[in-house]
Amino acid sequence: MNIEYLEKTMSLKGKGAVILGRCESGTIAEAVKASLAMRDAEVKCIDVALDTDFVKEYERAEKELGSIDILVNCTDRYYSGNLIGTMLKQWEESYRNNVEFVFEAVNAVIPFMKEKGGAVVQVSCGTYAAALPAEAPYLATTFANVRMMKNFADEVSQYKIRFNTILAGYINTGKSCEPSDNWIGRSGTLEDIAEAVAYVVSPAAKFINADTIMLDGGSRDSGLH
Amino acid sequence: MQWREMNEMISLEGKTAVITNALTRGEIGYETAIALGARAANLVLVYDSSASCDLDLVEEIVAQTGSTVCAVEVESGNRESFDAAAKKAEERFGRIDILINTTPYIHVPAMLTETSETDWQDAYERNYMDFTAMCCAAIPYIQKTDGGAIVNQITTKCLDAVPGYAIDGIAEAFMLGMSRTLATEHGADQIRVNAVLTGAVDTPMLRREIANAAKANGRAEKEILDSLIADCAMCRLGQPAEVAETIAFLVSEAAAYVNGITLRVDGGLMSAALR
Repeated sequence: MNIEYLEKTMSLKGKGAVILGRCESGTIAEAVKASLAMRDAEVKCIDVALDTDFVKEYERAEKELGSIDILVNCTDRYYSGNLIGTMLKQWEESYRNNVEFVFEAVNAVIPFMKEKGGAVVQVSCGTYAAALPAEAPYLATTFANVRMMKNFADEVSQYKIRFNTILAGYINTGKSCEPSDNWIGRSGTLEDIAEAVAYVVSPAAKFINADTIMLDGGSRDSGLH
Repeated sequence: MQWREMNEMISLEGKTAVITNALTRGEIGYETAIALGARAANLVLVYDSSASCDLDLVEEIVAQTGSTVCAVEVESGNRESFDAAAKKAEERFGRIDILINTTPYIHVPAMLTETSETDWQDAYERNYMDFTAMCCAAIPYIQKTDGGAIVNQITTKCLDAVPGYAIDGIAEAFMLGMSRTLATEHGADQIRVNAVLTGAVDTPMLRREIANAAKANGRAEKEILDSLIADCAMCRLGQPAEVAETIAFLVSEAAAYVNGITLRVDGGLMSAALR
């Protein structure tokens, strides 16, 4: 391999990365942390709650990392419930947790990135296009997040911040694993997500913006984005 | 960078990649050859004898990447020549793992209702047929390996209709349909097939397209260029190397679960529909 060439497109040396999500064995956040660290980024995980003061957290992270160049949100919260029979409260909760929360988290990081540019990645669930039963309030918020990233990309384009979404299909997190009804016939792994995130934040992807990458091994829905 | 730990995800060592239209400087195929060569893949560069291409670039790609490169000629519209090219690739390197189809630019400028039968025939022969022929020729060899990857590079015109580019857009939509069909049909063989949709990428091809459009519509070239840039959230043209890096990601082990997708490399095209 031509390391000199590859360093230029893959290395995250000198970049500070904030990952939102719980960093413990078997989580997406932890896998993402490992893959960014392997590329020499300085990484900090922040385990956030609904009342997190993002500005304070980012200020602390900036001090620790030197700068915030990358933000990866892995805090998607799952809600189940059939569309008919779903209580308004479930919709509200899902909206609060997966839409308002993402807005607050991303909006607060923009001032930290506006000088040098950066990359924001939202990790969401990719099954939303399939209208699966019993997941209505959750899947609706995923769609909203994809749209939101595109709007962010449009509105703050002057700061050279890229906004993209990784849409994960069935991923084997070790806890539970859905059967993999996809074209390559296996469920995804945490590394699959982590590598996609690492690619999308790297210099190699610097013209990829307002985009989605579907990680589902190929399905009827994977081309819909 | 922890290269040793990442080697498995990134390296294409021991793999053979067939790339079409790679022998024109500054085009996406050429940059893709460099990106895959840098990852230590053996390269088979398929070129159309009737198109303008520069065989001296082979030596240049070898010098830049240090990988092993050979060029194989095909004849546009002649399916057997593609079969022969795939066979030569296997004879030379013992296997084919990767196929990259980059779109040659066969622009037929016309509104949909003004196109003639010959325009369609032309587009078919120069675009669909070669594209299909290359896939059909390479897949039987890729099937013999323990998994491979195909990337079809087309432009965002296949989804976002542009007036005056009817045949281009529809021809590319055909390729997208084919790309996704191959993904369904060969997923079980562990052959991943993905499409990269490029926006306005600064290649000699784009510059020619702008010049032609300017002439046809009596507009200044700069005006057309500015309108392309204005539609991009990042307010610039893309670089062919940026597309090449995306392709390199998609064929690597890092993207082992990415299949059947259409990945836009367009800097955030604001006129694009949400997909």
